[in-house]
Amino acid sequence: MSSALESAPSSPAAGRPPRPWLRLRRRPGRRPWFSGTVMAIFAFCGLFGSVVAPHDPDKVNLSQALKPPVFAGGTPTYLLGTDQLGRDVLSRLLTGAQVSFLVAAGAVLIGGAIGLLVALLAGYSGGRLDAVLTRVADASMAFPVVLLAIVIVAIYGKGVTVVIAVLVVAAWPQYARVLRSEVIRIRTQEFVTMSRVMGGGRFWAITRHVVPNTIPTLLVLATLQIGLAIIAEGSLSFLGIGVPPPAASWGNMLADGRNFLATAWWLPVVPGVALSLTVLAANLFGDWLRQALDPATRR
Amino acid sequence: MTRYTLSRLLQGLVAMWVIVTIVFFLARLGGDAAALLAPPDATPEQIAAIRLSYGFDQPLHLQYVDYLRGIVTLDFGQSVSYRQPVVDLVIPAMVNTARLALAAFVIALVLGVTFGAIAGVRAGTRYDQAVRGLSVLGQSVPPFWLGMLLVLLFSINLGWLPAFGSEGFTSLILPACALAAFPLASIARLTRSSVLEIVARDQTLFERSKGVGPATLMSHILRNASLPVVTLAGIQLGAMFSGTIVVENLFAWPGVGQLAIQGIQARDFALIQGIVVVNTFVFVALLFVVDLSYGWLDPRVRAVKSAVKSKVGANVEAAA
Repeated sequence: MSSALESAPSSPAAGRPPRPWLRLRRRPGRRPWFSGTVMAIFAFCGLFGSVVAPHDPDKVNLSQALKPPVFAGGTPTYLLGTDQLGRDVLSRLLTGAQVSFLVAAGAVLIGGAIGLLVALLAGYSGGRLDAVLTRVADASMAFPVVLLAIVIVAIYGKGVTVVIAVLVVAAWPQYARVLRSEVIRIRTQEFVTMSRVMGGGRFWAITRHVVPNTIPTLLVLATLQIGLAIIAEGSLSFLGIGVPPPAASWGNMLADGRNFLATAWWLPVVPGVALSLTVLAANLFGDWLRQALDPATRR
Repeated sequence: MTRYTLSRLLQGLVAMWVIVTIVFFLARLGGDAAALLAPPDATPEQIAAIRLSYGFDQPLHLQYVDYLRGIVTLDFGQSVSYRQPVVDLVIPAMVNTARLALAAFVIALVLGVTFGAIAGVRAGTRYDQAVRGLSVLGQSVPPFWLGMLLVLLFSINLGWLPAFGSEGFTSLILPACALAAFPLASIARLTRSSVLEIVARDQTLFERSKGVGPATLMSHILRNASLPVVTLAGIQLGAMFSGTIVVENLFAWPGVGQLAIQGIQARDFALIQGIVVVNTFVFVALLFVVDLSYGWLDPRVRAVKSAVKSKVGANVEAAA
């Protein structure tokens, strides 16, 4: 590819839609080793956590209750110790990763899709529909996540689906707001006008030019939302309005562990470390992605 | 300025109306609203009586008017679990929540602006790197877990501070710190980037070359950098009023969050509805105050408010 084509916002002559995220491959400089590794481990545990778990995460074994982790004088059978019911902490951690992964993936995919759809609708229609959609998004952002969850749980009851629904309702306006201005910025650029001039329809322009060029922004937003979704699942389960116990989720483990702060410190500490590390990695990865994909900082 | 204030006020009222309406329809779409308001062990006759006394048998638009009238006159109905008017429960709890949220806010704002400003002025130094690292960390650790760690260290191991309760000043310290970490981190990040931008401007170079002292220079930089920070601080303060819920739960702090959780466990929907409405009101009122403070901080806002606001919004999004 010539450098002239590379610096253009898209290659209008190409037969397939532009793929701006390919910039990542060409970007020299620091790679996100730490955050990338943690995210990969999280994704692996999120998909196969219960398969690789050494014990049954729900198996109660009172004779083995409250064993400390191996590095604090425990046995290698239970690497991260056991909880008050003798359940293996490592196995619960791995299974809990599946809950967090499911919640994060669901919230990010559905929330992002709705947000993008609203952004296209608002950014392309303009006028009154745009004004209404923007206002609705602003008002929804004023509604705090936990309060929203309390209302929805009070009406519909608890469950993983409800947690995802709450997060989707909380997240779509964030995507919609940012992507709307992206859509407006892109659709007024010359290459999109050119495609209209050359006879391309509106649908063509949206699917071939506008949507692909919003992907970098969408990716950054989505990565940062992963962290928020994981924290939100933790908070809701901690309050007892998230994933219903006895299912192993990081929030449930923390909620159980709070009663053992003085006697079995690993119960509150271990899931918290896992949760914070994952969120930290998602945030760092998002920051890196933003810089790497931003044409302004690209050299 | 009056026109600006009025338009902001109107926008706030519209936002409130939208949320209150959403709550109304959520409750009615979810099935039998009378069953939601009834205690869990209510007989069908009792539910029928509730349906009648709340007017659930009436057409939806009449119910809606009644509902709005109740909110305007601060009448949220009767809490079934406490057998008291909801208002009498929510207001004292809100005062407690406000104490906690404001204490955390002061910590977050003072430390966040200080650390962020110094990091911005000394960009690239070790101090700057430390502030940036810590603020990413601060945005990744959930407040309830941070609270547990604080209890583990300061209450259980060192025995300096109480682990829960609301007696006296010392019991405020740990929950306030747990709650402050996240907003502190984001305020520090935004202040840093905002200060960095002002420092790079010609006006700063000019002032320096004129021989303006460091204290005066800093105050000019801070005032110029303050606009996005004020927006973020307002949003964070509003978010804190709901963020307290987990922290209140952990520290047994008698605020709105505790009340809401009890409301859920008792299936006390009137109570929850009252909490949501009062909380939304606080949030919208805070955003209104923030909007007004722009006009005070930056006279240009009054004239070209829309242009500046969209820029501020973009800055906040970029840093948040």
